[in-house]
Amino acid sequence: MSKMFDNLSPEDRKMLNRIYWRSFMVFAGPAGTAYGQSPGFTNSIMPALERYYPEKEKRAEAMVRHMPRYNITQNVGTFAMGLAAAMEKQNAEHYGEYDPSGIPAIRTSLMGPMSGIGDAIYWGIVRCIAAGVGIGFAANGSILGPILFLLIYNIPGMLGRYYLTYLGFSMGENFIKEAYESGMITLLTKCAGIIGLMMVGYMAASNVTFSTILMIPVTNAEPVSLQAQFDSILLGLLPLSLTLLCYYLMKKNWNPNKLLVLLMVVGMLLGALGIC
Amino acid sequence: MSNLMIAIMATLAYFLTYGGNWLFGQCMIERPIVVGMVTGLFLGDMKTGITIGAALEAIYMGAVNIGGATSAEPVSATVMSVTFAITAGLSFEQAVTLAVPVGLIFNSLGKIFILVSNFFAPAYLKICERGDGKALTRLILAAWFTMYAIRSVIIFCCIYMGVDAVQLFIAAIPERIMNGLNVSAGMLAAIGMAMLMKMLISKENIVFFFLGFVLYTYLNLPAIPIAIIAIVLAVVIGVIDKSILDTKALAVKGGAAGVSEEEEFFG
Repeated sequence: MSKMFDNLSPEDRKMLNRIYWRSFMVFAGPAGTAYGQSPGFTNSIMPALERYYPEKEKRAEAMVRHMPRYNITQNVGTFAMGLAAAMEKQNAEHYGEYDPSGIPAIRTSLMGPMSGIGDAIYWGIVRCIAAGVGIGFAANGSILGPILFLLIYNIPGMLGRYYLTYLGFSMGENFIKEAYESGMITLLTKCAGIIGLMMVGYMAASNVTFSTILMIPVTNAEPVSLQAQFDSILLGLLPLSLTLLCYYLMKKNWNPNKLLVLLMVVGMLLGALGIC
Repeated sequence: MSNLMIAIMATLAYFLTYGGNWLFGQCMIERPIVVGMVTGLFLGDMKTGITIGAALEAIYMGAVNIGGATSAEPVSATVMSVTFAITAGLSFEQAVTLAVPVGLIFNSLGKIFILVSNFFAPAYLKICERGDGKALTRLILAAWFTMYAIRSVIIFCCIYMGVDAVQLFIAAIPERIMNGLNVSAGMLAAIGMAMLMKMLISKENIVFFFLGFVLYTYLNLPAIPIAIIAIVLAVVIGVIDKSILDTKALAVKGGAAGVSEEEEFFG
């Protein structure tokens, strides 16, 4: 990885490191529906704007330019920041030669695809593994649960955030386009889905509890437990069916809140009636 | 601990985890599994906090803040259920079930805050027009503090007034209803899983959900080995797909080269 960034000067590195650290508070001060998280974005790339536009007027112009709505998954959004820094550098060197309104436009066009990759990797895989491992330990009250959860999520998160700042600055806008066209992004998303879903399967099996205490009366013999019958078909048949039912309803665009309330009521009824 | 002290400690846990999460790069300290630990630590019973946090993490697994659209607000839900479990004697299941309505109510409150953030927009624009980077940082920090301080005051009032009321309420619950609470607490995690499935599933990969499921139910494997098996499978499939991609790319290139040679020949 480091070889790719050999052409960067010490000043470039210093600037990119400052952008990296500032990017942590990118979502701290949202500015409503029209601007979204753009104040945080502008604040993150301030080291670049201050470096390339020592004149106050030009810097103000650049800051206003970056006000349109911004929102990219945090851990990959630094790519857009590095890219914006590189483009502002171009603009400052050839000031007045071309229209700088293209700089935020490219950032806007990156929002969809970059958030797509970011959500798939960080929300899909990394968080599923982190939560799966974390919940496993924490269910017994072990402090290792929350600690492992934070480490497993944040180490890849911070690495991604750091390298993507550099990558955005040195590779430029074509990088993402090429990655899409070569099919690498689709491939990555597919692998992310495999890991994520296996962890979800594990978490569904270990966290959803749903069993019946009903007994089937048999003439001239001991009553038979209905749950034992279910277990002989497939262990965890009831939790699995419940999870799949919830998935089905959600796919039919049921509101998750409606589902939460429904399950609460059904659970209360089943418990109160002595079925579960 | 007096009710006032309880409310202060719980509110502090809320402010640090919720506000801190957005100041420090969405580092996931706002997730129930962490919020539960911090609240428990502040109230002197970390173990209870961690176990309730773990259960709520499973329920709220799918409730992540993507682009400001949330379905529930897990932070206040976790803080309140852990606080009332430790101080008002709620059982594990009662605490977990209590979290659901709390999360729903506070989620609508969160929507109000998104509206409130609109009021900061003109100030941001004015600072940018002045080209003042330091003022921009200051305003972001001030806006951040204001938003989470207001939220914290609301949580404080709810807990301060709630401890006694919750205690009385719990004592009055009949046993059949208690059993019902236990059942629904176990079922609720299915929703978190369903939300994740909706995000991840495609026709090709749904089989891996079942693999993860039976690896636990029949082999009782813990999370780490299952994660390793999942990564191995993903890498193997990724490598195979990559070589297919490469072959395709080569074929396209070869085809294009063939055409140009022909053109040269005829030209």
